[in-house]
Amino acid sequence: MKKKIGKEIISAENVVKKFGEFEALRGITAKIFEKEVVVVLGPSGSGKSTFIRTINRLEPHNSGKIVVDGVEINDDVKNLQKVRSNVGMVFQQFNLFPHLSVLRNITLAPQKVKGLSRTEANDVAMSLLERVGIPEQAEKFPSQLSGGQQQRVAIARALAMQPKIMLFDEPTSALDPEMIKEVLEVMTELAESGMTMICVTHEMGFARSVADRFLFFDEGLIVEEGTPEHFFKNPKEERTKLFLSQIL
Amino acid sequence: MIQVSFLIFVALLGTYLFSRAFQLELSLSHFRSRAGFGLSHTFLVDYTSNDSRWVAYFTGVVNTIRVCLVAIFLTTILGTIMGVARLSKNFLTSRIAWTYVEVLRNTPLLIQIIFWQIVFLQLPQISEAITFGDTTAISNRGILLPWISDNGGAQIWFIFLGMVAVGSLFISYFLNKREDESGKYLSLAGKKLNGNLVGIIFFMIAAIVTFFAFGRPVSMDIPEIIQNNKGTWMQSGGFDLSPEFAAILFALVIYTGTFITEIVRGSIQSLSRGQTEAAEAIGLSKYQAMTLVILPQALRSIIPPLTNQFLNLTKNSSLAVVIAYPDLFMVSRTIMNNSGHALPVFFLILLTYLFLSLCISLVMNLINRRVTRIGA
Amino acid sequence: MTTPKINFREIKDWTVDNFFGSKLGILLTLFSGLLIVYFISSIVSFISSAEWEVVSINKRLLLLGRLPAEDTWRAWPILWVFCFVFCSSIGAWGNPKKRELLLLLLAFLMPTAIFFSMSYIVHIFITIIIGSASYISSKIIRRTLYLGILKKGLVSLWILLIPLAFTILLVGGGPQSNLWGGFLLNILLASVAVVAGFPLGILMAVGRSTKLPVIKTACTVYIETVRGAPLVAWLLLAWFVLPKFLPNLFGLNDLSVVIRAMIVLSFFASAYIAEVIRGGLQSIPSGQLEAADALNLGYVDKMRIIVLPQAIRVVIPAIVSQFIGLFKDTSLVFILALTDLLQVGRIIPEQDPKFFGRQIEALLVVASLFWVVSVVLSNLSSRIEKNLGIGTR
Repeated sequence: MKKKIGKEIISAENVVKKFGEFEALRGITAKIFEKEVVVVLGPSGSGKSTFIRTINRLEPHNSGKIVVDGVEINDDVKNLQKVRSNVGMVFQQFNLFPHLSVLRNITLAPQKVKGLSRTEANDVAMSLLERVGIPEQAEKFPSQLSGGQQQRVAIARALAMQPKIMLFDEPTSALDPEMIKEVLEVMTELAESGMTMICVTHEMGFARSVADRFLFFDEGLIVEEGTPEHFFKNPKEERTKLFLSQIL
Repeated sequence: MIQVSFLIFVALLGTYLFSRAFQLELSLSHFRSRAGFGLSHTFLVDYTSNDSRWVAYFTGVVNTIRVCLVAIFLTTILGTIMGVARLSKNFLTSRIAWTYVEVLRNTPLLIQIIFWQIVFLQLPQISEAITFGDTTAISNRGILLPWISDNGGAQIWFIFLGMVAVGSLFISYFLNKREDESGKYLSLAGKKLNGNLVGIIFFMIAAIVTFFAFGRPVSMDIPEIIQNNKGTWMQSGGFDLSPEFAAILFALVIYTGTFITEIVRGSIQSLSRGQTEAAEAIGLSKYQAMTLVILPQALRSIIPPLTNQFLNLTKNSSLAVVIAYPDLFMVSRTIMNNSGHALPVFFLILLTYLFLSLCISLVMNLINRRVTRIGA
Repeated sequence: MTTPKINFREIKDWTVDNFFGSKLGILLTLFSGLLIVYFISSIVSFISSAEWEVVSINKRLLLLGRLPAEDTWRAWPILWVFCFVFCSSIGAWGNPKKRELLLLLLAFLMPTAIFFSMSYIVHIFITIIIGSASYISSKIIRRTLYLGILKKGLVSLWILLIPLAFTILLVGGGPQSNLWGGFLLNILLASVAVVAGFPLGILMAVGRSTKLPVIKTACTVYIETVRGAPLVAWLLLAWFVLPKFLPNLFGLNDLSVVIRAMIVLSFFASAYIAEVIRGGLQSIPSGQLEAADALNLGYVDKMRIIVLPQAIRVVIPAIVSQFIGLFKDTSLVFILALTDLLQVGRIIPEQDPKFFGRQIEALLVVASLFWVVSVVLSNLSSRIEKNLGIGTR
């Protein structure tokens, strides 16, 4: 699908992140563009999750510069809230709030952070639930939903703040096989509608059909990047070839 | 079939015990006779040594309830603050909380009670009491605080205040609800007014207005320390926090506080990190994340062990006997010693403590149900 | 292990982040700092004006109560046997790190330093030797095939420890139990209570968990009644009422106060231990019970071989914590006019004119003894927890 890729929206320059002595990110430089769908691949421990978590500062980076939609990510709290309102995140463990209903999970942030009224927030939430395909679950509680449904609610919750960028941290890894499909369908629709997405995932079929670009991480560095054709047909690096041979 | 043999066993044991018991005086009729001993703390009850032992016992119960209620209130606050402090990023704060728990949790409560008693007894004599301006005085006779005295009509004013309080609660509730549903709020000079704040301001204004309207129904009762003509120092007026009450209060609050700290800490920590991350990822501030996501969930696992601690506190209040604060246990012991009939008094004690425990459990269960009502 | 280079910039960043991160952080640091300064200054001023003779002169009283002087020698064999069994157990079952062994040694040395007296230096020396020798030898035996025998032997020694202690105290015309006191009394009371309360606790826990309504109600009533009243009340009951309920045989209604206290404490402990074990029983996956039923085991066998061993293993840390609680509670026997460690510490400054006003010193030493035992035990229980978690499954 040919869509127009826009201007640069995320820029990471030489980002380093250490956990004590261990260097999870050893100098990542990357640019993400509007409406782009980027898939991040790599063996476990290579720093993929750490990288996308530095983008909304769930992990503060030690050195380097990250700019998201014109705002630099640092310790400034005001900046941080601005960035986080623009960046939505979907977690591997869903992390829905169990003490709130599905509807309330979604309306919480728009009401409390954006100041929407209850009715306005409800409207937004219901339309999002329709978009992800489960409007009838609105008054239920997370524990009453299946894993796939919970993750779809999590996507709706992230979309409720109308972010420009969506981050996905292994969204289907905790799901039973028969539920992975429903979540991937939502993500595909999202990509086709023009959302900027960064996904860490192992779902190669999905990645191949939806991604505009791949980033291959290994041991804290981006080893190779390119389009899907480039990646699967002509990988340059040895490590890329090794990784691909293990997962395909 | 096993049950039958067990029943027989229990019946035999029971018969034996009861036969022995009947040889003892089992009734509490001796409670009607004159008590014959004085009590150092009488609250709500005008007790003299001429009253019956029932009155003495009742005074003791009131003293126990008094200490327990105040202690439960204070220790919950202390435990929560310390529990949150324990998780603070600030190294000093979390270490202080850690030290507090480690040192005072492993020291027997009895030692702590005695310690505080010594501390309060080593306060200066009343003639050299520590004073703060002219209002409070601390000496080994206790802590004197200013109190209020009735100038006539105080009761009516309090009732009126009660109504005003209910009114302001309604105002807060409605304002919050309105804001929640339609997003509209009152504003003053361009700044948003919180619904709760408006309620509080309303209450304060109404209180002041009615105070003057009712002709100043209460006034400050400033305690005085004077020397009478025999040269003895006396204190009068104000509100007296006796050393015994203060000692047992401090010890109970601080000791139970260590356990509550660990309960609060464990509860917050057991929530998966993912909840905090999700809350922050959708843009909630740290304060909003705490109040809307973390604490509501933590409360659920806090309440049952918290109830247990409150029950322990109530039973531990019986240790007041060591410093002669006349709680229900101490009074019972005196009665036992005086009358020589231990068993029926003991049943009375057992029933009273069971009753107190039941009340606390009931209230906490209601709270628990309310907290776990939302969500599965 | 290579020494990491000291990165000053990192230290500065960490300090700033943790202490001065935000406005709140600065306030907290200031406040905490003031608090620490206040406490340290009051401690220092206290220590400089304190006189510790109240403790040093009354060492024997504090540790042994009113035990007659000529019977003091009895305390040592008890300590030695305990030391032997304890250190052998660590060697046989545990994997202590060097740091933990050091802490244990420190915990032993601290009270030794407080209560040090030249006349007993040989005894102290012997204790250290017994401790290290038993630890080392059990570690050696661990590598051989005799480990099983060693473990069984140690378990029986643990069970025999209390009767042994009693024997040592009473053999050859030993002092009456009324004279037992001080720290020895606290330890003895707590140990007897837990050991005696344990079997009764198991019975009550099993009883409360059955479906048979009569037994279940009876056990529930027992447990809730015992837990419903404060310990002091139960102890008082022992004083006033217990003698009247015991039969006139064997001179049973003339029991010494210490024995009566032990009886009451055992019943008290059994109720709490029962609840702990009941928690353990509930945590056993139902699959275990189903497997046992499928193998056609009778109820008693099922309990004895499958359920209880697992339940008890799971709750060992909780039982140790009950022991700690009970140990602290033994200070309550003052109400029976028994001279335990705390009572001695209270009475000396009040009755001996030489030590008037030295209450805080005495209280501090008493508190630290209780504290050391509690801390050692709780660290032990968390260590056991870790061991069980990793080792056996």
